[in-house]
Amino acid sequence: MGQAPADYVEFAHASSGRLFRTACLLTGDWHRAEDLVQETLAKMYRSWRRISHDQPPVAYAHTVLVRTYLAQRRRLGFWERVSDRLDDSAEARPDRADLRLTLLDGLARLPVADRAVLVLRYWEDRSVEETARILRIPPATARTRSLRALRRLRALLGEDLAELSAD
Amino acid sequence: MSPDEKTEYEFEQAMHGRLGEELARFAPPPHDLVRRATERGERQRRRSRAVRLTGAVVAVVALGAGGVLLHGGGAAAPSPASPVPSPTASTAAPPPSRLPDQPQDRLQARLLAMLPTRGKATAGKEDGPEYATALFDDGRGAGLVAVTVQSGMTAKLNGQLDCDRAPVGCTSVTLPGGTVVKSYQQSVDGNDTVLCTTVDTLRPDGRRVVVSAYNAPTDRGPATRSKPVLTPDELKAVALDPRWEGGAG
Repeated sequence: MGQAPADYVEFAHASSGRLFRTACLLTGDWHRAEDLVQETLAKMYRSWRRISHDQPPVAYAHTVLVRTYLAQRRRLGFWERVSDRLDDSAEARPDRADLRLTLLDGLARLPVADRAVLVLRYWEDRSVEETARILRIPPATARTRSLRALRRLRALLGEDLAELSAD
Repeated sequence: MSPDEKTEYEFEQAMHGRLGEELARFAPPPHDLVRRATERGERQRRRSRAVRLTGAVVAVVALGAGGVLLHGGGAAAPSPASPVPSPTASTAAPPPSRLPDQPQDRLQARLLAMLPTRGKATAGKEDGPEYATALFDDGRGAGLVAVTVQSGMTAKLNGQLDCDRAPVGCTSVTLPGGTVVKSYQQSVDGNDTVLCTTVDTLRPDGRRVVVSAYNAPTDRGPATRSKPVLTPDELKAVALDPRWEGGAG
């Protein structure tokens, strides 16, 4: 393998943890999250020289991650969504483990675009405009989709909603 | 603020913290994640370069052959600008090793040949070794048809071809030869506007063929018809076609 640019290696090590956490929320699965981050960093590696370094490339990497996730899901079709499984190897902490399962499960049951918009808005704290740009949709659509996704999640969580929003 | 709005606001406020707690369930990423990602990037870069070089060689060969024809025969010495081997040398040479993603590895042509004759099938935008699309129009609105072909999937699927968490109406049967066939329909956009019917098959040798049909020319709409462009039986016929069993995937 050729020598990877030092600044790429530094960037990849610095950003991989955060990318992985976002990927876990998007995919709901440790192995798929790892694959998604690998693919994202591989794309960053291939285009490293062409990427504008005026700003830190971390934000761009997150855009690549979300778009790669959406493209993969489109390619695989929707058959895989219904067979999404929670990570078997994850260690559930004893306290409120049922609630965690429900929230992750709720996310997994949302349409892919809804899941992406919630993760961007409420995990990555992206603005509506940033979310819209990443998802390549108009801001008004991003706002509507975010609201709709929240309502769907609320409907899915049912009684757990009160517990979720109580703290 | 109404009670509903208040609940929604509180829910929204709690989301970030709860998502963070959810992440505690996941083991940390592997320590060699960056190294493996970099290796993957390097492999992709080399493959891309190989494909470009192959294209360039093909172009040079084509130009050379054209030059030979223009100059009236193949007996002349090769032009310095066109390193074309003589026909004899070409015949005697061993066949070149197959590069990934060459046309014979792509799926689209096979998909087009398998679609029903009651409508017109045209090429879609995607044509790769694992995934391809086509447009099918029976005169009542064009719809997207997509196929995914993968190998070695038995262990990876691990019983996921049942209907436990699938939409209502899902069926999963095992054919006499051992092939599992799962079919279902679901809304792509969550509003029952864009619909997708899917037949997902797993053969005993681990080959998986998934075929989906939409009621829209893209998987994001807009819908052009009320039902997907192929029926479940037509999708099943495509997914179980023996022509998927060679070459790609």
